[in-house]
Amino acid sequence: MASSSPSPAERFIAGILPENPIYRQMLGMCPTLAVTNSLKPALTMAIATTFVLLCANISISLIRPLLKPHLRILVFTLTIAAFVTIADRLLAAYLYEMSKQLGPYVPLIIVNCIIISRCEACASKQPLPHAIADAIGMGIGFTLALASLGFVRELLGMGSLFGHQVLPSSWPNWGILVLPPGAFLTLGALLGAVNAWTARRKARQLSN
Amino acid sequence: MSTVSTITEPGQEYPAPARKNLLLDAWLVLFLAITFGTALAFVHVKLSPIVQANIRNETLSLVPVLVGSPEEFDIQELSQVTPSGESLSFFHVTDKEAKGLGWVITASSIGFADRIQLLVGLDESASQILGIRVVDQKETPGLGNLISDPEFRDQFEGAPTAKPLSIVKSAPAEDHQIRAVTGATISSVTVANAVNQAVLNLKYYLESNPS
Repeated sequence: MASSSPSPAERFIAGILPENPIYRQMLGMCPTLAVTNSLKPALTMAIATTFVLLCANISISLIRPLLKPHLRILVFTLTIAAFVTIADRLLAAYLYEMSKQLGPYVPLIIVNCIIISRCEACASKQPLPHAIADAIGMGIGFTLALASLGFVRELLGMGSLFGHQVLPSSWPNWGILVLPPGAFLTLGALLGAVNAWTARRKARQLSN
Repeated sequence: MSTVSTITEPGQEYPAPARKNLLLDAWLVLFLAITFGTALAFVHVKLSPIVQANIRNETLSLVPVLVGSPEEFDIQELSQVTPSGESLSFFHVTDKEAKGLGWVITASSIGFADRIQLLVGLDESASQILGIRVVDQKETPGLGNLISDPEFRDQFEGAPTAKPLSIVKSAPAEDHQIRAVTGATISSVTVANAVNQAVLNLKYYLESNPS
């Protein structure tokens, strides 16, 4: 965080690309690798995480004057766990199939380091508007990252998007992309692409 | 934090709390724990009937499929306590004239990773397996989770129950043999054992409740 105190708008933008939780901070790798073999579970996971992130940031920001330094992580975890349980039950009640497919990864949002890091770095020190903008920005950044992985893996691995066949049946499905190694391969390729793109943009800015 | 000096140790960043009543110190944690606990209890009370209904609907939608998808049917749910003290549910599928079409029973056993839950369909006299479905499993993707695939599960269709099913690793030579999923012997054996147990449970039920 370069400037002394970024405005809510700056925080919102930061989460999307400049400080994207996946492509820049390399946080929350567990759900990123585990549930992105197709778009639907990737998006469900991203939305559930964003919901928890937003609720946790709001709660922590509201109670920040009461936080005791040595008990703050405990309070963060408690808050996050409560909202994750709510998200988990909501999924089981209204998106039962998806909840079965995501299995243990929904409860595992509790230990998603993106959320703890936002509580620590932003919500516990900033007023409500900043915390909300930060959560939404980071949430969108996380959603875009998971969606991009899910898009590539489902399209090339199964020839479909959201379960609908889009590539002609002559496409030889790259089955490995749907399997766990495919998550690492795709993440590596996309990280490289994002880095190359930012490096090119920086070089162009410098030459101007 | 006025001086952002070199932080060498964790804990140095914040001064150690002065010795005082620890409970008083942690009032926020305790208060939040009680508040969130109450909130979660409310969520649970509201949502758990819907979750239970989802699980039940899933089972009920599979029951007719496992006895050959009859066009018109009734499902009766019965329960029985086994000699080992386990409580089991049986679904008896009958046609509109109350003539029995078959039975569907739940079965489960610990697989390679976690509990594998099955539904087993059997004919009226429990002499033949009509089909099985894996309802829940967390086996290794690409290996153990292939037990849910038609290729594996269709082998159970039509298997006689006179002898317990056994898992073989080559092409099965006899009716009661099932070919294991390659690389997932434990998952395959678990399914076969669970099915065998289900057959025994149903036979026990039919013996103790002659109709």
